[in-house]
Parts: sequence; structure tokens; C-alpha cells
Amino acid sequence: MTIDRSFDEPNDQFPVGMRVLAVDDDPICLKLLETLLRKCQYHVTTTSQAIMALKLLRENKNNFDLVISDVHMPDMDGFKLLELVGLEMDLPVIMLSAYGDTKLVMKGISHGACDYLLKPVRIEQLKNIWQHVVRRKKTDSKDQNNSDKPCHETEGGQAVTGTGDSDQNGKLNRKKKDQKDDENEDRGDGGHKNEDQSTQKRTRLFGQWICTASLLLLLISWALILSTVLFPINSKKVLLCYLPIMPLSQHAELFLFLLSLPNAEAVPKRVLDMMNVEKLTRENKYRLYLKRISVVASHQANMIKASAGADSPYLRMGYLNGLGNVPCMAGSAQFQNADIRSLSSSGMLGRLNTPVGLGMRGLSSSGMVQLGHADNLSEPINNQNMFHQVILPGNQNGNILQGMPMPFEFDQLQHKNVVDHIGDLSSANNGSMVFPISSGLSDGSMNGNSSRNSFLGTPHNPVMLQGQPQGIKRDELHGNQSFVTVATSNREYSSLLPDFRRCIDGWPTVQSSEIQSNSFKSSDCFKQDTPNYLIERKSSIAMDTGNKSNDNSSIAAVPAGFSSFENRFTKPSSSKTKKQC
Amino acid sequence: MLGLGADRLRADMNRLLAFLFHQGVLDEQFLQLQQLQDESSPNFVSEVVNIYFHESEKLLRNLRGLVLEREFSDYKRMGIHLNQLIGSSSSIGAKRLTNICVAFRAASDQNNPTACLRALELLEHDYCYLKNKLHEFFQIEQQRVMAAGVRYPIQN
Repeated sequence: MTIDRSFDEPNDQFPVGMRVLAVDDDPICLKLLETLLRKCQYHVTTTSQAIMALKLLRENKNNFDLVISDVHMPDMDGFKLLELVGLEMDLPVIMLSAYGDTKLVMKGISHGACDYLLKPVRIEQLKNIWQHVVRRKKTDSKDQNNSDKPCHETEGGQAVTGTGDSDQNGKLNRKKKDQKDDENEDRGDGGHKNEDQSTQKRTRLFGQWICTASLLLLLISWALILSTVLFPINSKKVLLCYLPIMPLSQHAELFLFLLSLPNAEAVPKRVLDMMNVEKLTRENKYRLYLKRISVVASHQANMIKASAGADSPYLRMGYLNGLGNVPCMAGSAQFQNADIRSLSSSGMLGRLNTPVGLGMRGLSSSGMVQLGHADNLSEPINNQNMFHQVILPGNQNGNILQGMPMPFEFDQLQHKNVVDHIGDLSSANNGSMVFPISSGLSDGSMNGNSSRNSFLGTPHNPVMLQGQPQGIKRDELHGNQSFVTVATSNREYSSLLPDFRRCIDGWPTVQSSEIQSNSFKSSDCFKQDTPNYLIERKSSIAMDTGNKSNDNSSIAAVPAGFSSFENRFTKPSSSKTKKQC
Repeated sequence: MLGLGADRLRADMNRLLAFLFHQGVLDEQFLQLQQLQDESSPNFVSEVVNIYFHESEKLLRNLRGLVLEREFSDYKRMGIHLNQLIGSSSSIGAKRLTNICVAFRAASDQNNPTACLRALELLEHDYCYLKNKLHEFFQIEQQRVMAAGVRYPIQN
């Protein structure tokens, strides 16, 4: 395994035996790094002190191809070592750290690091580090032929890209460019220097393009900020009114115009006159809006509506029911799509006091929705899954849970919401009965682990099977009425589960127990056990129901419920599992 | 008979590992460590883990000294120790410890002594737990190796 430095050698020989110097004061990381590098078939030298590393390197710089160094070291800062190695020996250096802060990465790059790895290091990352050696050698050889320009410009392009984008994007771009460069390097054997130059040129241009794009974005945002900050109050009103509805070409004009006007003169009418805006006279505009929106407001509200006029499609849906008919948005034709329409819509709607306004808010963010108004919302809104978080103080259990997503989906996040709101319910209603369910539910959401199944059994079975016998019939699986009667019995928690089931379309109501059994199925070791388990529980549950239930028929019903339950259980429920997922 | 013991012991080891994974105490990095163990370095994992325990105890002692100081101002040194602890814990695959250390570091960045103290206690508690579990793991491994070792002549 000799090290060959010429490019003419095929690449698959070279990475093997590459000599790496690893520097890290943490002995665990150092040992791990050493083992990983050996696994990649590199030749590794390790030291825990930066000073020692420098000494080794200075002895003979040709002893090593690559240096990997930790950033935080007690005797010398990793960046300092990086600089020194770059200056004196011109070897590629990779930085390593547990801390991936943007500033640190930036510092590493600006000090000349080839790469910045985060601990814990994976072997996949180390398998590719030889590319830095090859690239460095190629750049060096090009330096000898040409000037220093390509090397610096590539690095400069990379550095600027790092500033222009976010940290991850920058890294990604660099990685992409690295890969692109690698591909270009891999293609063909020696003598493709021209190709490299054009590749680097392309890379440079790409970097420059990204810079200009980001600068443009900056300018636009700056302009927007200026418009709100710099302009006095009248001008702000004008902008608020007219920016959404004026064509983009006139925006610049409007800005400049408002800047030139003193505050007193910058009233909408005046501005319009001076800018010769014909169609959109103040009166026309207001009339159109008033037709559309029947809410009579103060002057401020007029302003709001004026700017909200561009949001007509959103408002139309909402106002259909709440506020009577809405004539066709004839005026909207003249309103052009504005950049800040989306901004103003969420802002404007926030100020509207209608339930629809609240409902709309729920669309954009998962906010609270008063279910009392649920009926008022039109179809499209209803169908959307905005009932993620629902709070209804007290009275109607069934209605609350109607909107809830299926808690038994194996999704802990949604599940948490459900549990939270069960908690809320309990605080609103009669407390302690609900809690066993919430804990049981939270257990039920986790995928079957052998240690967990015991938890799954205990809180669920007694509760659910109490609910079931009273209402289970095959035909009534989709019927809700039986469970309503259960709900009216004194046990409210047992009603919660059937109501959960109600909200799922087409799901049989024994779903929750089935899902529990499904979760059992998901862990294989319980496949055979569960029927026995249930049979065991029969007696204990019969005893439980004897204690808890006032309804004597339920005790007799339990075995019946059980047998149906077991029959269900033997049915292949894989299809249901799929539905569930 | 002995072979059966080795298999059972391996099952025990796997179960313990799965349990620790499920709890979030360990993550895949630990598996990477195991994969690096082979004939040339048969005790790689236990060696690394022992070094880790040794170093971490030193760091934890230093941290405790810093946190319980009356003045309690040397956040910078604390940050350095924590960095090292984060690096080594994540290299081992001790996920939960790493997370606590990260939170600890955030608390020290904000110069919040109460949070630091709380984080330290949590850290020590979890560290003890991890140490016990890993000791258990290595004990079973040793037994398994011994049990399996007797088999080799018969197998060959």
C-alpha cells in the first residue's frame, strides 16, 4: 500500500493507506476516531496534545496527508493549530467538535478548514475525507500552473455562500459543490485542467448568483421595513390602503412620492390625485367594499377593509353563513394580487370579531375553535382538520370528542393533545374518573413493547369492557345511539371512549379494544397470550363491574361482551391496522 | 447445555440493550461501537466505556466543585468541561446524558445557577444509572464469552 501522489493513478488505490494525524484531548473520542479511521483503512497517528501534533508535523511535513483536529483543546486552540498547519505545511485540516454553533463553523471555514464535523463522528463521514486531500493537491498543482486565483475564488465563493444562506444551507451548498467538484475530478484522467477551470468558473458564478439573489431579498425586505418605519402616519395610511391594490410598477413611484410629501399632504385623496390613479377613486372603492361587507365601522375599520379587500376569496367563504349573501367580488378584478396580501389577511382577520374570523385563524394555525360556532362554518372549513385542539368548558362531552382525532393512532404528538384535553375535561367535569383513561391512552399509543403490554391491559380493559357490554351489538357498530345511552349513565369516562370512536368514519365502535388488541398483535410474543389474558381478566372484571357498576345487568352482560370481544379478536384485523395507520 | 447458556445470556444482553434503547438512554452510536468490535479488538466496547467512566467521573467531580462554589462564577470552565462531556457521551451513544449536558450548557450560558444545580443533579443521577446498567451488560457479556468459549473446541 504505497501512497501515490500523482493523479494518473486510479482513485480506488489512493484512499487506502492515507496518512491521517488525529488530535483530540478527549481520550474516548480519540480512541474512537482512531478505530474508525483504521476501519476505513487509513494509516492513523494519534496525539492528545496540539503541541505534540505540531512537532510531528514539523519534523517532516510529508509524513501526513490530512489532519483531523478537535476545536476545544486545553493547550492550544484548535483554530490556531488550523492556521499554523495551513500556513506552514499547507495540509488539509478537518475540524471536529461537539458544538456545531454557526459562529464556530464560520470561524473554522474562515481559518481555512476543509470541513467541520460534529461529534459523534460516524464512519460514513470519515470514508469520504480523502476528497479533501485530492482537491488540495489538484488546487496546488493548478496554482503552480496558473495564479492563485482559482483556489481563492472557489474558497471565497464557498465562504460567501456560507454568509448568504443559513448555516445548514451553506453547508449543504458547499457539500453539493464538493460533490460536484468530486464528480468532475473523478471523470477522466489527467489533463483535464480546462474542465476544472470551467467547473470552478461555474461554481463561482453560481456563488455570485446566490449572493445577488440574497442581496435582492435583503433590499426588498429593507424597503418594506422602511416603508413602515420611515413614513409618517398619514403616509402609512396611504400605503396601507393602496399598496395592496396598486400594480407593482407603481409601488416604487408611490414610495418615492410619499417620501417627498410632507405629512400633512399625504392623505389618500391627495396622493391619488397627484399620481393620477384613475379607476380607484376613494369613493368608488369604499362603496364597493361596503356592499360586500355589511359591518359598519369607524374610519379605521374602513381602512382595514380597504386593505382587506384583496382577501376576498377567504372572506367570502366565511361570510356566507354568518353575514348573509355576498355579491360576486366584482371589485376584486381590479385588485391585483399583492405581495403583502397574505400578511394582511392573517393580521386583518385577527381583528375581525366574527366567529368566522376565529375559524379562519384556526385554519392558519391550530388555534382554539369554539365548537358552538362549528355549525356556522361552511363545508370546506369543516372538513379541514382544525379540531386538533378543542376546548369546551364543561357541558357536552360528546360534542367535544366528536372533533377529536383518533387517539389511538400511534402518534404520540397528537396523542398528547388528546391527553391534555382529557385532562382539561376532567378539570371541567368530575375529575378522577377520567384520569385512568388518560394514562391508559397514553400507554396505548406506544408501539407494543413487551414491558408495556402489561400497562396496556390494566387500565383499558375494565373501563372499556364496561362500556362495551352495554352497547355492543354487531349491527350497531356504527350506531352512536347506544353509546349515548351509556354516556347518560353515571360513568362518564366510559362514554369517552365510544365517543372517540364516533368521530372516525366507518370504524366499528369496538375499535378501541381492537386497537388495543392490534397493539398486542404488533408485539409477536403476545399473539397467543392475549386470548388467555382476556379470559383471565374476565373474572377480575366481573368482580370489578360488580363493585363499580350500579347496573346489575352489566355483570351478566360482561361474559357476553367478552365472547363477542374474543370473536372479534380472532378475526384478522390487519386491514383495520392499515386503516388506523 | 453450556451452549444454551451462552444463547440465553446473549438474549439477556439484547433484552437489556433494547430496554435501554427504548428508554432513550442509549442510541445507535452504541451499536456503531459494537460493530467496531472484532477479532483484532475483542474488548473494544468495554475498553472505551471504561475510559469513558473514568473520564466522566473526573469531569463530574470538577463540575460539582464549580457548581457548589460559593462564588459560582466560573461558567467558562464549566462550559469547557461540559463540552468534553458532551463529546464523549455522544461518542459512546449515551443519548440521555448528552441531552442533559446540552441543557446544562444552555443553563450555564444563561448564567443561571439554580438551573445548573438541577442539571448537575440530574446528570449525576442518570450517570449512575447508566453506569450500573452498562456494568450489568458487561458482566453478562463476560459470562457469555466464557460460556461460549467452552464450546469452541467442540465446534471446530
